[in-house]
Amino acid sequence: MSERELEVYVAEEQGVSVIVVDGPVDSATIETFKSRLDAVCLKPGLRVLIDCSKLSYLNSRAIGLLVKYHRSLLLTRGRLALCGLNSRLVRTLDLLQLGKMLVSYPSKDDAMTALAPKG
Amino acid sequence: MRITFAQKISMLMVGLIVLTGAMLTAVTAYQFREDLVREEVRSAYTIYLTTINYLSGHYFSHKGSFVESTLDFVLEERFLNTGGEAMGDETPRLTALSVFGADREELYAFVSSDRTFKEPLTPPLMEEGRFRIAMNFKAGWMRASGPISTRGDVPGAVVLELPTTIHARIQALYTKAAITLLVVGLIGTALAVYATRRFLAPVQALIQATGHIQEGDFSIQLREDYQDEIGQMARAFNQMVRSISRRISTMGRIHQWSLKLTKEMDVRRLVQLMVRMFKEMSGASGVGVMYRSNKGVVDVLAEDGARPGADLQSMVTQLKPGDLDALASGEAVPFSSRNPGQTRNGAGEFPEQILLPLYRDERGDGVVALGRRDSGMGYDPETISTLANLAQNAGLIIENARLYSELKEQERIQQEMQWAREIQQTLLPRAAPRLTGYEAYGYSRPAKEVGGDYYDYIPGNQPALYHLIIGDVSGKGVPAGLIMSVVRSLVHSYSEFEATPGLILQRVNRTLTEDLEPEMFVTASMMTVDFSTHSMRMVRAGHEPAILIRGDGSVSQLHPRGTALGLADCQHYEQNAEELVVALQQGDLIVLFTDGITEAQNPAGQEFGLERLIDCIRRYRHDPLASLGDQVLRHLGDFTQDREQLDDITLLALRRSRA
Repeated sequence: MSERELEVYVAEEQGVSVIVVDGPVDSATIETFKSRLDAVCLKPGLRVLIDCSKLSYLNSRAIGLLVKYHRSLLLTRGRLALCGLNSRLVRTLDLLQLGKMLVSYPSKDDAMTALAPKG
Repeated sequence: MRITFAQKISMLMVGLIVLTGAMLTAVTAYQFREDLVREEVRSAYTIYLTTINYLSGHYFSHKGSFVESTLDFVLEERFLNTGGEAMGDETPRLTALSVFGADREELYAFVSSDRTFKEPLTPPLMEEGRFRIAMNFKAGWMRASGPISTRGDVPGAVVLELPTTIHARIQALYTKAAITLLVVGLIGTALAVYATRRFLAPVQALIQATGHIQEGDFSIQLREDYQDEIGQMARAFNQMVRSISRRISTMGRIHQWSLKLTKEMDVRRLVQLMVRMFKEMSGASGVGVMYRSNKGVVDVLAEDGARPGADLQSMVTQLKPGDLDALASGEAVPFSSRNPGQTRNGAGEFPEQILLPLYRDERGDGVVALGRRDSGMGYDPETISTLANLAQNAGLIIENARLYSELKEQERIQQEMQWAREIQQTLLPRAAPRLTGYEAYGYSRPAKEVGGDYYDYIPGNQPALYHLIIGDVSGKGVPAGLIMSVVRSLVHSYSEFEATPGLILQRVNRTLTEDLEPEMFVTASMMTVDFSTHSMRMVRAGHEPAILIRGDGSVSQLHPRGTALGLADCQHYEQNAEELVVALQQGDLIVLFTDGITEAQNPAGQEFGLERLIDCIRRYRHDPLASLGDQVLRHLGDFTQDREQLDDITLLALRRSRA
């Protein structure tokens, strides 16, 4: 169990709710992760970008939560995207065949370009 | 011999009285003696004056001489007023008289017939020229001397000898003084003893009372009708004894209650018992034990008395921050109806209701509310102090009971977890099946008492088929364990109807997708061996790829597409599911594992990793599978250096035997 704490920052940028996850999401920090992201990702119709560039670890329950947020936003015409995944996280999503469900971008700029409302 | 205080006082008083009497007697006797001597001297001087007056007249009448015959006649016949007989007292007459000339020659001498003294009279020092007197009280004489004429017209001096009884009189005086002193001493002793006994009687009573108290008898009381300091002392003593008796009685009752309370471990019953205790100890008409959260919500835990809840509860809800600080520091908070809008009464008033601190935790304060007393009296400081101490002890007892309850709860949970683990262990295979031409091995170790990993051997619905499955439920602990048992049931059930792993997991997924929480899922890999064709079908539902080591030592990974069970909708799962068919040669080894092995970390934070696992398996691939499994676990343990296991670990292997 990681002793490092988890920090979650939320900011609004160009009509997109950008969530920066800094630290590991494991059994010690999963509740913090869930409470912070529930507050944003369960709101209907939002465009949400989760910046994973500082995310060091994601446990299975956290992956399940990402899928849940994806479905919830999808139902309300919102969108969820990820960016800055490290190779380990990419492999994990690939193993679970979630690459097509959970859209990820190499960089934040790429993600913002895709997510930000046009016009 | 022990001398009592009263005896010492008596002795002191007697000593003082006797000493005072003796001093007074001595002074008086001395003064009286001096008066006697002075009187004798005055008498002698008078006789001297009378004598020299006559002698002067005689001298001049006899032409400057002293005629012996004439003087003898006068002195023997006592014609001179030399005695007290003429003055009516006992002053003795002359016993001898001598006249000396200027040259100190004796011109005339008279000696009385009854003179008993032997010494002759001697001439005085003429140059002194004044009256002198010599006394020998013990011998009984006085001798006065002086010039015959103070003017000097008659030369010479006269010496008179007078007997005196002053010695006997002084002796008699001393005797009377001693007798007087003795009588005074006796009277003084009697007075001192009486006074000591009378005035020290209260002190004696106090000493005796102290002895009674020392033996535990607090019923003793002193007389208080004295109007002096003794009376004040008696009243103060009696008040002190009553207070001590009251406190001892209270402490005894507190001790009895403490014994009752410490035997009770159920918090709810304990609080009810405490309400009864406070009611009895305080005499309050209503008592309530309440909990006030930091947000101000008041919860009545127990109460006793006529409608105390509403009245007492309002006391707790009215608490101000200052009152809470007082409670936190162990002080009682008083309430008085004279100042309904305030929570503290003025100096000198005894509050009618009080709040006592019971305990404090991170969520709020436990308090005891005491209503008006049945006696109608307010809560005096001594009572408040006693009740506050009682509340403090009660708070500790509650804390102990809570800790005990938590401990018992933890023990219960641990026991139930242990039972759950044992039950779960029964769901896992007890031993690998004996397969003709094949060898199987499986091992699973949960991170906690109950784990989310799963492996199983399931005979197919055809004789030549045999299924092996490994699974990993997202999360840990009991929830994951429960889902694992559901998955096991589903797999076993659908294996009765389906022959291929793809169809089996497809049906399992359909069921799980409906029942699982949105964020929960299960990864799994299932392979079905066909003994008749020596082939193996495999599906991977989001699980770690399988390791295939051929008989020649080459290594590859089996990585068919597939989403985890319950994670996506059924359409997504079925569209992405791929079934892989692999032909098995003799010596081919397939190993399935959960990420608890590859993601296990050493103290430096490094992961065991896939490469180390493959390397280990390849090294021991020729060993019996049980031995290979042991080696993998040993290497894993060496790597992690017995660091705490964070995830469930499971290993499943199948090898086609060599001929």
